[in-house]
Amino acid sequence: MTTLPFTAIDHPNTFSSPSGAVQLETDVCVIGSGAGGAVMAAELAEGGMQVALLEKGPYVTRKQMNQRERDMIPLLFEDAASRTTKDGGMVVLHAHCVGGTTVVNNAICFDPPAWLLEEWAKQHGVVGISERELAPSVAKVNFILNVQEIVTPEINANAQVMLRGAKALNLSGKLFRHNRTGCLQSGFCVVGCSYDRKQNMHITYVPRALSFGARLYPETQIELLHQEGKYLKMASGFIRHRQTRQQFPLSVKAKLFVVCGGAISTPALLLANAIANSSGQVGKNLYCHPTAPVLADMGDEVVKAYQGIPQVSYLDDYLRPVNGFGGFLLESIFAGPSLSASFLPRWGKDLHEQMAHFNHFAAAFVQIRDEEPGRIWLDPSGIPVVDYALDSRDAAKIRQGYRMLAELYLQAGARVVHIPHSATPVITKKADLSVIQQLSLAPAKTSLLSAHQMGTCRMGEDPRRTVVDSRGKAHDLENLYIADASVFPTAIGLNPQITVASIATHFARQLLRDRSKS
Amino acid sequence: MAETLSRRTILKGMGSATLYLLSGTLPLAGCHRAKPAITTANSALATTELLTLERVIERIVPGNSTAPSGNALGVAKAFANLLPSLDTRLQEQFHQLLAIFEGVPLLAGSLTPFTEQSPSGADNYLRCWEQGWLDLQRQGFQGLRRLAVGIYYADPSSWQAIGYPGPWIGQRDVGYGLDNQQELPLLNPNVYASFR
Repeated sequence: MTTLPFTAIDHPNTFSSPSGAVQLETDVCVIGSGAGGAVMAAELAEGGMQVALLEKGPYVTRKQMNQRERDMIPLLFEDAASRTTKDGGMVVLHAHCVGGTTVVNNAICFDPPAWLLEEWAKQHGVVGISERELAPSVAKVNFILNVQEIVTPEINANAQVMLRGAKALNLSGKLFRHNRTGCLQSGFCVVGCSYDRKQNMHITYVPRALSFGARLYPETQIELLHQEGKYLKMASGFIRHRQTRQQFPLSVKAKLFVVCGGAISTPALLLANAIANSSGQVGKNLYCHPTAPVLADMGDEVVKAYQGIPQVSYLDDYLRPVNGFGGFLLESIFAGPSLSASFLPRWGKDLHEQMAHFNHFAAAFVQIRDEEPGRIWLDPSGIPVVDYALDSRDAAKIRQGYRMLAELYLQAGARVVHIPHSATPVITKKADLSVIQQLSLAPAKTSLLSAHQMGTCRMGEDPRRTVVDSRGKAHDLENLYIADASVFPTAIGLNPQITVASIATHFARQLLRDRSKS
Repeated sequence: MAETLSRRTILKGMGSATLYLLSGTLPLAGCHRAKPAITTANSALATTELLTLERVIERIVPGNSTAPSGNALGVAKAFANLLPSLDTRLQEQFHQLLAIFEGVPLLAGSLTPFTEQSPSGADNYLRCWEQGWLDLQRQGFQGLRRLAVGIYYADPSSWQAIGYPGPWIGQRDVGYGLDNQQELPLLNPNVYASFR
């Protein structure tokens, strides 16, 4: 292995200046460079395979990351973060850049819990992914990403408010584990780390893959998958020149294809090519972790919820329902000016009055483990439609989470708690909490967003009900694998990057073992 | 993209059975997507659309003694510049939204188009959309609101009024040896390490 520069944009194995049609021939073609694709590329390259790693988005380095939402959001997010569900009720965030959504996430690390893997085995027929069987892959991912505890000096004022309220309610406020090294606590993780301290895929697994000989093709979009019998033979699309922006045709012949575009783009590619869908399940079983923010005006207390590590604390007391109550996680969140103003259901003079308290806002959100799935389908022009609506069970979880957060903030000393709902409920005392139960969660009544999409090519052993097997191989094709959050049989309720990366590692190891046997 | 928004297109785009039932009685004649007045790369919005959007922004993000108005910060034009980067379906939906918002005043219980309303009439018009009984209205209002406040508060000129110091870049990171254009040392020792 050779030592590389910190980022891999200028590495000889990064190809971003085509001068004509590009034709590749390789062992493995990995499509997508996020938490699944980057890991797959690194593992398979480390295992001795020749890998081409293709990414639709650009390679954005820290030199471009200027901490300004107006510049970074269009650059890093699909459709400038304006994509919504079909009913307009939820903003759907999805990054498009080398490193995928790990570039814009808040570096939260949850290992896949044993109860989840047991549930997948017992209820969804997943085989060979128990806690024990996945452990080596989880350990490797934690090692490469340098996952560690957030420590006391890193607890910002926003998290202190949350922990104080949790203690008053006898709830177990906890600190996240994260994949940052030497964090400066500038607070701008969601628009990319300007200091390369967040250990996202484009500065970890992607350069690692290149060091093992993989080749990276940024701004390369695959549109067609060419099938012959039970095998994919070729992928084709186009590649864009990094400087001139000129576009050239590209084709990749490979022995194996691994699709890792995430739970929207992966099924969209399969649906567009009408492949791997004898089960009829491609695009179905979409889970989104609907997330609902709450802002609390802490009166005289200065919080500045945009300072420090963006997400520090959480409460998981009710992640797993107890007597029909729960199914949600409460997490402290970054609240910059654009985001805070978007969450506040205010406008006109009222907006300015509320935003005058901006430095006193504490912020958190309710993230639910959703049970009622939606689906992805393609409109006539081939654009994926996120067809998802909140059902009554999941809406109840959001109301429960709203109530718990509002009560927590009142206990912590909030002057007023704002629920981002068009009915503009104002909660200043415990007696006001009952209003939350009456809130309609019809589309666009409340602010919802999804940063985690899962489940649209779910895994399992029954080819009639699942798209890939428990090793990530498509039931319908001999050389197509999927390794991203679309293989999850259910929502997981937790921030998913470690689970995605661990499952990709697990799939890659099995694939290499199978290859060495044959 | 079609230059004229037909009634059929509007109804298809809205996907609302309820609105479909109303369609026979609604005056959709005002729902033309006018030809862009300018033909540069920034011509994502027609002049009439820009006018509607600026009027919306005037009501959603007005100015006061300490904060500039959304129109003073050019929020509508900033959005017009952003629009071509969105997928074509989103662009089309946005044009449809503006056409309906301006051209179907009955949805706000009025006979007067939005841009011809008095200031208080415009606020009532927006409130009708905010609390509207059609999903389309509420979604449309929230889309416009988020757009207006999101772009407004991303502009540094809005920050002083709320006491926001702005990004670290070039300010609080000075002295850390973190010049944005320099290579940084590899801090994570495990990126290239073997794992057994």
